[in-house]
Amino acid sequence: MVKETIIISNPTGLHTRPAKQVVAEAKKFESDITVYHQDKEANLKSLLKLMKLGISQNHSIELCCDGPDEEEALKHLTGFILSLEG
Amino acid sequence: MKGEAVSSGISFGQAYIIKEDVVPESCTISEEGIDGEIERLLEGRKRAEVYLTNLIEKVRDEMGDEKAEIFEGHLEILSSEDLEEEVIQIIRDELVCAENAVLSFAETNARDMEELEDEYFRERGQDFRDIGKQLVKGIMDRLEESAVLPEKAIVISNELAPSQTAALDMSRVKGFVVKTGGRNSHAAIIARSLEIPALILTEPDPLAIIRGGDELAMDGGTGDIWINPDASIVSELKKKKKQLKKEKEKLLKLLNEPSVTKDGTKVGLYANVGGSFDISSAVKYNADGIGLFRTEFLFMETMSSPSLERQTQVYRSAVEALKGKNVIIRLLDTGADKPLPYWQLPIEDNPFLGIRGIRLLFQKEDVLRTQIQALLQASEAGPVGMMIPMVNSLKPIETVRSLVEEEKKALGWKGPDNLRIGVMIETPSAVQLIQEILDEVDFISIGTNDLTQYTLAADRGNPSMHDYYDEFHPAVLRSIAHVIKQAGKKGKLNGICGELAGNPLALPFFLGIGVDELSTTPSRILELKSMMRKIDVKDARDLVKEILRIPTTEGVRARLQRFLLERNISL
Repeated sequence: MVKETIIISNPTGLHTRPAKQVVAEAKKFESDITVYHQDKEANLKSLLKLMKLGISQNHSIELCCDGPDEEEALKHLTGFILSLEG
Repeated sequence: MKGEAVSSGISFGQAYIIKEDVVPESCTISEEGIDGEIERLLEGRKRAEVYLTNLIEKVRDEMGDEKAEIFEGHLEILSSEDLEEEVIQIIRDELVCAENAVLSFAETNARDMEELEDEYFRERGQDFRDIGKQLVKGIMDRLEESAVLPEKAIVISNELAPSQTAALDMSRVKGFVVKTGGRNSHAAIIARSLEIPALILTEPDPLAIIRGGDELAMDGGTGDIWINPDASIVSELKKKKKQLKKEKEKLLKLLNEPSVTKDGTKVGLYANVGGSFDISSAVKYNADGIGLFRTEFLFMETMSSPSLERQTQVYRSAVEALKGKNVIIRLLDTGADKPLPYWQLPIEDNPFLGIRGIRLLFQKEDVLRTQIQALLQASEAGPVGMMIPMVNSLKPIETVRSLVEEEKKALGWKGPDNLRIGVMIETPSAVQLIQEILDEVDFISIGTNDLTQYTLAADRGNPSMHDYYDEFHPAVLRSIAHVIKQAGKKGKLNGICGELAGNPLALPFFLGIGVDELSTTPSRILELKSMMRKIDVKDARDLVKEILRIPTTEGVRARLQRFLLERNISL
């Protein structure tokens, strides 16, 4: 299992649009991907659960990947979230 | 058939039915029923998916990618395993039918979202309710036949909520027929501001007698509607439509003429507005100001009260659009008679005599403070009048004024001194106290609808009060004359908002009592201007002397009609 803490930098945070894109990216991997925010956690492959974390700009989240492609998944998703615009 | 006229104009088009929100009765099932309900859920979901997919395409074509992505988010959640698992879990655990399980799922998730800090996420709570409704309609197989309106659509519905009107493609809507709601319901106001013909038809039930796709003709000025009209009616209506168009073109020539009487007395013709959708109409018809900005609609757009930023933006855009002319914005005026979905209010026996207007705002002081802050910030762009609704003593004025001072201090206010405080005169007690009130405020405006119902003790929403509720009642007109006269003496800006201000028959009376401004639906302004320019104030003053001595409503109306007739002014 690998993990990484990131700070959300895009202005709207993980609102519906960006969240939808992140979920689509996460679904490309086989590993279980969990996101932790404050005292809550969610499966990053579920838009519904991700939305309910209410992640906004400047929030700190922890990404956790567990599975055969965990290294690759973590690298890709971290980069993807940090490069979100709008 | 004849209904109540709401927004004038003649239209032909095809019926587009907006089905009522389905509220399934609560239903429980036995263990054996579980599999059947799961099957119904999955089939309903397929139908809802097809519906949403079509809607997304339509939205993308007409409103662009950004809007479409909102519905793509809906589709994503609708199709998700999470939804399927959670709803099935509810069916199994609680032994309820699929519809109930979906609604319970939607409500739980909506509430979770509404607890989040970020305003954006809180507002997404409503998305879950929308998804839930669509899915329930899918299960019951009651989705609208088509998400796409016909080219020329006459929309038929029980009533129209702001969220429903927002989803309609207004470029295709040629008319509205609603079953419930009054002349000042959201749909009615939108229809008038967009100049789309509209009428209210309660009996017979339009949803029972009109089918989707029926050819309709309607006259929103008279309240008439025809289903599959024959050729003679169509040609007659077309003639009338042409005539109306001609008259309108004639009126448009007055657009840049000042609103003055025949002898050159200036009387402001202001606009009543409810949001960005009709601020543009106020500008289009060259209103002399905004006499009543109803802020309720802004509070109905979302499932929580609008943020400071959102309010500031909307108020500011109104002030900027009016370019230095007066903009009178009424503090949130709501109560048990027009509740907001997110405020649970106790049920009252007499909501019109209960917690409404400023009384409710005092209970929700944080909301009042936010609105005051937004109005202060908007006043940086130009003059803003803050109007307090439902005042029956001096106390609320004092309280609001001290709140304004507190907010100024908290903001370290160094902006211009552009915020004026005024009162809506709508209770008999405010009429009696008018001299003292005028000493405390910068302006007043008479809300004739409420003043009439409170003066005459006749509920304006109650159809059996029809014979008792009349704005031309001498008691009402005498109250109005008294208030305007006192305001004039003290040199305070005074006006009339409410239905009567836009009623052509009342115009000579208002000119005669010397009112500063009349505030009405933007599309009415030119008609009033054209009439006003044919009336001498001196004659109107003499008329008022007579009117104030007439003891009956019928007498008043007859005298006003004669006055207009003598001047060849037709209504």
